[in-house]
Amino acid sequence: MLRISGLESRYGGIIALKGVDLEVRAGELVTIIGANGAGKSTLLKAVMGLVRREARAMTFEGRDIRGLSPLEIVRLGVALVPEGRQVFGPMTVADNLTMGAYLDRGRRAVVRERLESVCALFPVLRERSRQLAESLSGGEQQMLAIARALMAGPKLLLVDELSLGLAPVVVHELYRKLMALHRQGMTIVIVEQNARLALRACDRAYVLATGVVAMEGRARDLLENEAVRKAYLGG
Amino acid sequence: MTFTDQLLQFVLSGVMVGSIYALIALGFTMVFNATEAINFAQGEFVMLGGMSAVAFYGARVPLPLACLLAVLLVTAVGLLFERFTLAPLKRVSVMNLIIITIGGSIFLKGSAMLTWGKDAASLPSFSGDTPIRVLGATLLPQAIWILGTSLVVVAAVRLFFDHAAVGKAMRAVAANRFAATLMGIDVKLMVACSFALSAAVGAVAGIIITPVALTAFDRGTILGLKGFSAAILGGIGSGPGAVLGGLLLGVLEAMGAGFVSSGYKDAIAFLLLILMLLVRPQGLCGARGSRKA
Ligand SMILES: Nc1ncnc2c1ncn2[C@@H]1O[C@H](COP(=O)(O)OP(=O)(O)O)[C@@H](O)[C@H]1O
Ligand SMILES: [Mg+2]
Repeated sequence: MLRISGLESRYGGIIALKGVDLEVRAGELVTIIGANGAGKSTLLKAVMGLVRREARAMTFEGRDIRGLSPLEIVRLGVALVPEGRQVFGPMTVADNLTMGAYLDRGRRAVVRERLESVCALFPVLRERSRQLAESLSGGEQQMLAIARALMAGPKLLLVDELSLGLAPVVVHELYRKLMALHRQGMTIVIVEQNARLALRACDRAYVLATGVVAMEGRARDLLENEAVRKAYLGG
Repeated sequence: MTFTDQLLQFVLSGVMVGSIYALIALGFTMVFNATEAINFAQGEFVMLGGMSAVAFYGARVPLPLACLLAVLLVTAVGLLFERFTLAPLKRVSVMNLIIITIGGSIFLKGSAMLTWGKDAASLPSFSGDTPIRVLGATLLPQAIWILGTSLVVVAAVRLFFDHAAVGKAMRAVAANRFAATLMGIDVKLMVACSFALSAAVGAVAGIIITPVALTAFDRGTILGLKGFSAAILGGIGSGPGAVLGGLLLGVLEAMGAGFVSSGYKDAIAFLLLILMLLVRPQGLCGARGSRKA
């Protein structure tokens, strides 16, 4: 579904990605782990066309997406849940969700159907639909951010730092939701600093270190791997 | 005239002028929310509204059509203004934006002077000039037009931002540009929309005030400053704040001019502005500090 090879990106003099190869197949649940500053967010932003990037190849469903703008990439069916959630604070939960389906705003029936299904996944959002997004708890905001991304009806869902700053109970619930979504057929990439949980939940994993893929493989294998345990799982 | 009659008179004319300030403040608010910059050309949109309505009317276009054409023309000017000043810039600071809009306003003012000359011009009142008695005070029919039109514009703007998809998208851009981009919202287009809308609202203000206050190429500056003061008074970025700030400013100005001296009329706006910045810098309705994530 998503194929990337030799992806590079830099911020002025800082090289954030130096030749990343990565592949996500349809229906997979993939995690990208790595230390703070490894380039995980930059990788997702590069896919979305939010930062300047160069690559030998970068395709989504066989289409070259190297020169595309964020708008065009969203249109193709890629949605990003950004680091720090970034909900529209002064707008209601309902309006946040409406904005998620902005590109499909003419197709009322489709939007209503999606609203039904995200509210089925996150019932709390229906209860809070008239509340301002900024009044939600961190976990609820993360649910809203995911739901908002799903409102676009994406084929590929990218989630940056799913568990950042959230209590363990909440994080577990979020993982359960994403796994349920995965079982319904959604292709998902989760970027995490919390490696242990991510490796338990996902099928396949990439370890990113200073802008390159240091390791990749089945998540279960990486969980057992000595080097990974030392570097990312606290021994 | 008794004291209460006088008071009523000042309140009525204050509300009339205040609703003009409110519309101008609303223009500042819309552009501020989309760009975080103060568009110092806002007053010129007001002037252009009045001047071009006068020009169309002078060219024997019927009054209602002349007003409509003027609004459309100024809306187009607003779009072009954004297109040629802000849009070509890649990364700019808010300070740059402000300086650019000041430059743009000087350009618009100069163009108006070259096109239409320096004389003040007027439009006929929309429904004659027979004063209407309201209790002990009198009201010009045009004042009713000003109040009514302002009310309709404010309500329409409100409906647009609360219910229309594009209006919500503009709010989303104001709340979080980055996230708005992720939704597939064209941020640049929304910025252009905010200029178009603020120009249209400014033009309406400039047109409806012209029968009672005349217009001239240089009227935009002071009206822009009043609208800006009103926006700050109400809390910059807040729609209801802009309206409240405008009305309050209009009424206090009328009181000041009536009870103290009309020489202080313009000073009152700036006095209020300074007071507000000292006492409550976020303005009347700006409860939150920064809304940005
Ligand atoms: N906007 C930016 N400007 C300059 N450098 C940046 C910017 N964003 C990220 N970087 C740098 O790029 C590298 C990768 O950052 P990032 O992708 O955010 O890492 P991660 O998400 O893995 O923590 C880091 O060295 C970071 O300092
Ligand atoms: Mg990151």
